Amino acid sequence: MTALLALNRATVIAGGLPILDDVSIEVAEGEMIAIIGANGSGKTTLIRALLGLISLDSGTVQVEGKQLSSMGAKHRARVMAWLPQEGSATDVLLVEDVVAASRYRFDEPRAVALEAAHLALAEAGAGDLARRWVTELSGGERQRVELATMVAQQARCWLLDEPANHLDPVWRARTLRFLDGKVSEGITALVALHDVHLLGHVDPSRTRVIGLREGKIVWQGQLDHDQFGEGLEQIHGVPFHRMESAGNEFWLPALEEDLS
Amino acid sequence: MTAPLRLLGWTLVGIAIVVATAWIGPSLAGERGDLILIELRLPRALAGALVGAVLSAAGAVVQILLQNPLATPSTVGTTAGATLGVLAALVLGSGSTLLGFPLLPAAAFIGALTVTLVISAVASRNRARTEDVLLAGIALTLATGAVSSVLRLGVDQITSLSALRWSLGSLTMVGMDRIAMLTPFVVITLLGLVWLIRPLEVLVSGTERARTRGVEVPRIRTLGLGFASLGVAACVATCGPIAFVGLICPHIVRRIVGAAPRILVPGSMLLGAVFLPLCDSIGRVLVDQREIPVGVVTAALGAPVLFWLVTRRSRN
Repeated sequence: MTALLALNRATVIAGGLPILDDVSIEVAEGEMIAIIGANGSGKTTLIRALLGLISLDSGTVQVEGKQLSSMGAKHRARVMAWLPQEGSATDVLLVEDVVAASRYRFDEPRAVALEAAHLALAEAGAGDLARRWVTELSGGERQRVELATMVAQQARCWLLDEPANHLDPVWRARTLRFLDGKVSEGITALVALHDVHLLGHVDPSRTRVIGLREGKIVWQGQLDHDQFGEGLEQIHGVPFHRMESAGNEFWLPALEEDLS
Repeated sequence: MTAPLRLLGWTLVGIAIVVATAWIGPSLAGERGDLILIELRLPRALAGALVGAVLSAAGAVVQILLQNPLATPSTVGTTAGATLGVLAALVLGSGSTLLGFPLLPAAAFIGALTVTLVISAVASRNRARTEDVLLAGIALTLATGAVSSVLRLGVDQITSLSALRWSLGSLTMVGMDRIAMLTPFVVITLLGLVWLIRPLEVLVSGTERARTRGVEVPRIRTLGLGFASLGVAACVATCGPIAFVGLICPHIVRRIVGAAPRILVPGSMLLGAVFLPLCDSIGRVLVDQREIPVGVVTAALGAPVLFWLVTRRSRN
């Protein structure tokens, strides 16, 4: 079976240094993949390469077995939806318009797009925000709207770049839970996270971890792999402790330095 | 159905204001009053409305396309290109005999479209960032401006003066013949810009996001800049470069009804269509026995309004 997304020996060079160095990954339909690694390890570049937002210096991107470069924008939008790291535009727009705009690929009347937007907002727990201005939302409200735009686009694969950034602990956990729920419904997800702690909120048996360090894949395996702790050490260069709480596993770096 | 009805209502209000501006100015009493009204004032108001609608809508669309509040047809070089074309026509031609209809408009078009082709080429490169397009526009504006200045230095004083008067932007000389020539371009431009509203609704949330949601960004950008330039070139050829309308009107509309392109673009069209004839009439009454060019009035009136709006926002 062909992979939904495939990155083949991808290299991206910026300022003479490779920020993605001969990386190959395959994403199967229905999979949840967590890309982890330190800041600057190449997570964002990997996601942008899969979306075709940056061109590769060598290597290829394939979507459903076809070259990404040969696909039209609407076809791409049918397969992949993107939640970027930086916040959305700060223009004075209504929430429902922002969500409805993510359905551009459908070529449908505005009333249909609005109806779908309202359903998506309700699913993301933001049904009451539809007529608010995006510029007036709090961080948590904005996040719900972002997730609603992902739902509304109805793409098969979600690519999320640090979706938990700038959120309070409760919304971080909720975002990951929401994502885990979508994967259980059949969505494929690829999420870049620098906070490995958050992996405690997803189902470890169906989550695959790909660890990047300096643009290279240094470890990959299932989240419930018994070598995951060693993997984290390879990815980050420091040992990690495993902790358990309410049946979930959490990993924390074990620093040698004294905190005092 | 309420939104189209509201638009229709505002359009009627707009038309009423545009027609009413014809009565602003020195008294129309006396036997030649009707003649002045029908032959001069009403065509002027109509030309102002057409030019204002195009400049303002083009400004709104270019601001969205380049994701920059300062982007207008003036800042991407279109206006400067058209101005260079006209100056070249003034210099290369034999002076005043060629000042009239067809040479000037043709020269303005060639200038505007040449600059726009260069900008479109920059914009349609797959990896072009919006800043690149804006910077290229500024570079082209400076370059064509320099050539224009040299041309102006090289001609006799009378030509130089007429070039200066033209470059201030004025609706004074616009009669029905020029309006007839302008109208098809206005219609094509406005329909083209309205046709682009659907992708613009996506682009307003960011260029890269729009790309991942199915918008062929380079194509839309090229089309949008193309339509905007076509309209602006026609306007510059008709009445000279009129600054600020494309910058100010969209910002005012955005402050009042929000930034959604499906409201912003028609709203800007409407406000521009009212704003420019109003400014023109004000220029007619401000100083006794003389007229202030409309381009000067738009700048003098629009700049404080924009300044006020911006400071009011930053306080919130």
